[in-house]
Amino acid sequence: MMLFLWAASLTCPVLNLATARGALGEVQLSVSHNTCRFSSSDAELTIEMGTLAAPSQFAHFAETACQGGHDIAPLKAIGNEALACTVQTVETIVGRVRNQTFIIRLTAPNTKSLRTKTTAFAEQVAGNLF
Amino acid sequence: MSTNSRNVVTLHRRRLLRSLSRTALVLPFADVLAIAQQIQLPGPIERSYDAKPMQPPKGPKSPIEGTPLGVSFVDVVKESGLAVKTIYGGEGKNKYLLETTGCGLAFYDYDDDGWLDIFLVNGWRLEGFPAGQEPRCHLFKNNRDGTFTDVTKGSGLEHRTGWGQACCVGDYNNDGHDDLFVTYYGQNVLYRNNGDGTFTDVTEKAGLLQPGPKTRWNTGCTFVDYDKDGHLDLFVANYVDFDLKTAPPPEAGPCTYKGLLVACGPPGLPGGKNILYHNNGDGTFTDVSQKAGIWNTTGTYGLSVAASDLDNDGWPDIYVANDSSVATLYQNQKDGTFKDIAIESGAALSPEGKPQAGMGVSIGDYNRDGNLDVVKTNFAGDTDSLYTNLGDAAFEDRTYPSGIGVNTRLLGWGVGFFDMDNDGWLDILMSNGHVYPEVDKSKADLKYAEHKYLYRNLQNGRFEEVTEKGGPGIMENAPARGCAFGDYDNDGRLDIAVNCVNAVPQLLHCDSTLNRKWIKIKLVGVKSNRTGIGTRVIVTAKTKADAPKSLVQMDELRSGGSYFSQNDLRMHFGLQDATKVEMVEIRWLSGQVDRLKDLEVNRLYVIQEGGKILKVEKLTA
Repeated sequence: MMLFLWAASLTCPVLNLATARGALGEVQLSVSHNTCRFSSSDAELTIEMGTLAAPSQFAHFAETACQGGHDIAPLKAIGNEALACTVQTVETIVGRVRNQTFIIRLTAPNTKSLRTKTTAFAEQVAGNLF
Repeated sequence: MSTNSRNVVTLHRRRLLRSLSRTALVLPFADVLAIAQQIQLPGPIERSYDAKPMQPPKGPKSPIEGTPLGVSFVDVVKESGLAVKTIYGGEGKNKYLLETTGCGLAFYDYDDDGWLDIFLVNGWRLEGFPAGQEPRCHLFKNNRDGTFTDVTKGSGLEHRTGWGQACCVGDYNNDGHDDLFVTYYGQNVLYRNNGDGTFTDVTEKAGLLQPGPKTRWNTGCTFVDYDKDGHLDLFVANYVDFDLKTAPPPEAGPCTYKGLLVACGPPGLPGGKNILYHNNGDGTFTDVSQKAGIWNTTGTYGLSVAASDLDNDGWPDIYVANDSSVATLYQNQKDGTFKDIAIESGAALSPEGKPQAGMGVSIGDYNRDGNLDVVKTNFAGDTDSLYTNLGDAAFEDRTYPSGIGVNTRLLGWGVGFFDMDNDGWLDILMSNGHVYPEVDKSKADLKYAEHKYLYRNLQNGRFEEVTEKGGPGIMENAPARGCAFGDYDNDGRLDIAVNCVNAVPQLLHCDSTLNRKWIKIKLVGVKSNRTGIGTRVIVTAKTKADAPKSLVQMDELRSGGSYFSQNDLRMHFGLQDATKVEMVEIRWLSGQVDRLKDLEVNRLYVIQEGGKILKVEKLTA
């Protein structure tokens, strides 16, 4: 499985650095366990991955990830299913491809385009997981 | 401080709160996964708060401070005939969170005879009950002599059993008889008041059946005419998405408190979804939660609810006290939708920007500046919260500056702004009781049954704690939950009823040596909802002979509030030494404004929308 090779990898298997930099500017990548973290002085993008015991658990998973959030909206054509929300000021997308699940979280100063950017990242992540 | 500099301070504070809260609710991925898979909780969970009790900063001393209170609250429950034990969860030990929340109650004149009756919500136990021994809610009729008679049997209220939570009152069908709504872990019940002392369960007919298979944990409720169409809508908070079949026992976390195994949650459990029902005007309701934006905020462990126009725009907003989470303030967008502005409004978190375990909530203009403020009870180890409204629903946390930050030990539930001494300024009472019965076995200085907190308004933006001066009813330890405020003996002084867990309720009669004046206003809507809920009443009177100007008091009529409870629907205003009321201004939700001049003190006025005085009553004082 791709996920278990992350610790030894210098690249993020679901989103490449150039794509992240194209959207967020000069970010640095760090990879640990199941997490890719792209960060700069004023922005941080994290992509965390995991496996559900069953796809049916996704609804609960997504609801928990968006707990306390607002502007909750289901996303079409991203993985098998995906949900966007804003938790405090953290733009969040939670998605599923088969039983693999991911949470994308983005904090950045320009709040207006955060949803658009996270959606673009989610498309990349889901595409790589298929 | 100038308005500009105050605004700058408020802005900085909001930014700080936002930044602090950013990480507070973003759950780690592993936690999200564990919760979703419901295999086990993410690990040991110890529920604790560690706020420091502090005296307010030094300031000018109020001439009232330290003077005799003049009132004493005495528990007269035994003499009153109300001494029937409320059943809720296991005694001494609770396996699940469901066993901890307890019940509310209502001061409710169901037969419209001018005397407050009492409705006590009742609960359930995990093991159930033999047929014929199930606990049921109780309706007690006021005998007008300080005693009550249980009239539940034959009233139509006796059929339903279960995990009762809250109750709220309002005339949903505008027939002149205030109706009763009771929430449950499980199906809620709407009782139509038939006007002859009986009720009919109209839940199904009204479209309020909750579709399965999930059992909803409905909590606080309020009738609120959010779209100002003259028909009372209904808001119901939801606590936890809870299923006894999958709920974790204390050992699962393990879930502990001060080293004791206790019921798990709500942290680690999925939160519920609040519900807004629109009144269709034909006796039925439609669930509009999603389209009204209520579900843009979910999973926040909603408990108590209070609806009021917090931003002074003429439209009712809804505040929800959430357990272990940021509070919710649904701002009415005037188009049938709401937006949660709690964080940016400054009424969501502790002064340090931390989520608190909100339990009960009350709304009132304690500093008489024309803006409605919010007081909220919280968990043991934390302060309760006082959010002062600066106008337009921009709040400043004045917990510590006001003086209510002196206490952090007890765990608060019911709460009310109420004028205990009729001086025209709102005081505060909080009913306390620990959430975990296991603490009685703890070596720590903790008890399941706790005394009340009583704070006197010093008329300068501060409160003085007068718990020990408040009489034996305040100091008596009780496992309290909901409390309601009302004048059950019509003596012009506000009394307090408290529902307790696995104990008899308390009826705290206000004994007073003060001979202060008051006025009560009962509203009768015509174009607005018949009960008058949401109506703003402004009373102007010269409460002290030597005062340079008259005191202007403002309040709104509310359904529900405190913790799961309903207060007297007759609005009460203390007038101290006033000889008359110069003006009563009534702003109905319809837009109608009525002004009545030169009203007598110590009277109940029943006022119909349009300004007609239907009745003036001296009561018995």
